[in-house]
Amino acid sequence: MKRFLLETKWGAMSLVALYVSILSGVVLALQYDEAHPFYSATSLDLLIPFGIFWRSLHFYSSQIFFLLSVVHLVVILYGPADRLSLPKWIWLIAGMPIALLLLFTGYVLRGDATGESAGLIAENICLSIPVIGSMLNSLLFAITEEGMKRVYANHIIGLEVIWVIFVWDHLRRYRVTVAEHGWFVLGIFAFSLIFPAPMEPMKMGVSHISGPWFFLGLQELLRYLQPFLAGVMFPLLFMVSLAFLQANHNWGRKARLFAGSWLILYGGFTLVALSR
Amino acid sequence: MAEERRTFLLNGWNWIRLAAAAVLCYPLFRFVKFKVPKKPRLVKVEKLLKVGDVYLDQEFVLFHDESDTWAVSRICTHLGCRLNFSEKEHLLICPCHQSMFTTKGVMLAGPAKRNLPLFAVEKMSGENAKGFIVSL
Repeated sequence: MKRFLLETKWGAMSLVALYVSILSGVVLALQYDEAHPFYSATSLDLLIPFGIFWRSLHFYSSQIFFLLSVVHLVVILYGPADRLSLPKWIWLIAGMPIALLLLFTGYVLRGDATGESAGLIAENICLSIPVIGSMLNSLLFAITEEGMKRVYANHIIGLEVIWVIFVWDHLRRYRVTVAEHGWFVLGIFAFSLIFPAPMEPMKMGVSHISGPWFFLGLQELLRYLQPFLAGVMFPLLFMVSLAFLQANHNWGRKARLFAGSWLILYGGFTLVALSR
Repeated sequence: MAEERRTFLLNGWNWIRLAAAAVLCYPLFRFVKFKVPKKPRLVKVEKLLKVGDVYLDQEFVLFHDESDTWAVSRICTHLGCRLNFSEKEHLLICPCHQSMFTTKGVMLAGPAKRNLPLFAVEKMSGENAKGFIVSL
């Protein structure tokens, strides 16, 4: 098992999944209209030939990209790989929250019950940040004022550019060809053909909706704490610990312990949210 | 001695100029910070409502009973999710964190902490006019 974990090229597979995600995203963008997000997303599912396939391919390849980069990160941390210097590591790890934001903006752009609510919650969490909250919201979401315009711009170009800036130095060291991972790509295609990507239409009288899986814990936490504490400070603590994961000696060990405990706590909140 | 006095006066003059600049900044900050209230937007609900009917718009819910017609915001005061009307409980419920409000917008259960705003409603008048105008 340990050998399998260490020898599998998780990072390369994650990158290949990202290639599939970008290509399917380009195809989707040819039909998607951010002025009418829900109508547009449902048109993909119901009207446009192979629309549901392209949407599923984009959805699942993006999820796989994110999940495999997390596996890649964990394996690298516990494997024998060379350590990066602290500034280089912080630069690289900053790509993780950006990747998560990319995934999140994709959810929001569906414009369905989950997407719309998740976007509005994110906007209000941004606005709860003192001094810079309003500016940050204008940069990232501004859904109430602008609809999906800015979320879309960030999803298709802004966040990608930022992600590439953070991970470029890491990516340019490795050469990954899609041909090496033909079966993996075929697997993503087959999976997307069989399982349609989720969509939750607005329904009258619905009194409970669940956010994206990675923000379920946050959704639960927002019941008990102020939006600024639950939505900003709590995740920020985890991000700070990520920055020190690879540090030598005591700091690294403490950061790993903290990040692990944080994840267990967050997983607990996610389970509570799932049980509702 | 004379030089000391000159320095003291010069410093004092600088402090006065700084204070004057700060005083002038105050009206500037007040001016810039003020948010002009949004011009009311009128939404027509061209529908005749029977007593007990509920009309759901994207931004408000319109209620109509024997004595009154009123509109209450559909945006949760906690984190902005769109509220749904539960016919069974006769309450407005937030699907995100289950905050509950009465049909008059009064908060019953959190995490929301504020009541929902009410909007002015006018009955349309005229021969062919039917329905209501809601000022948002």
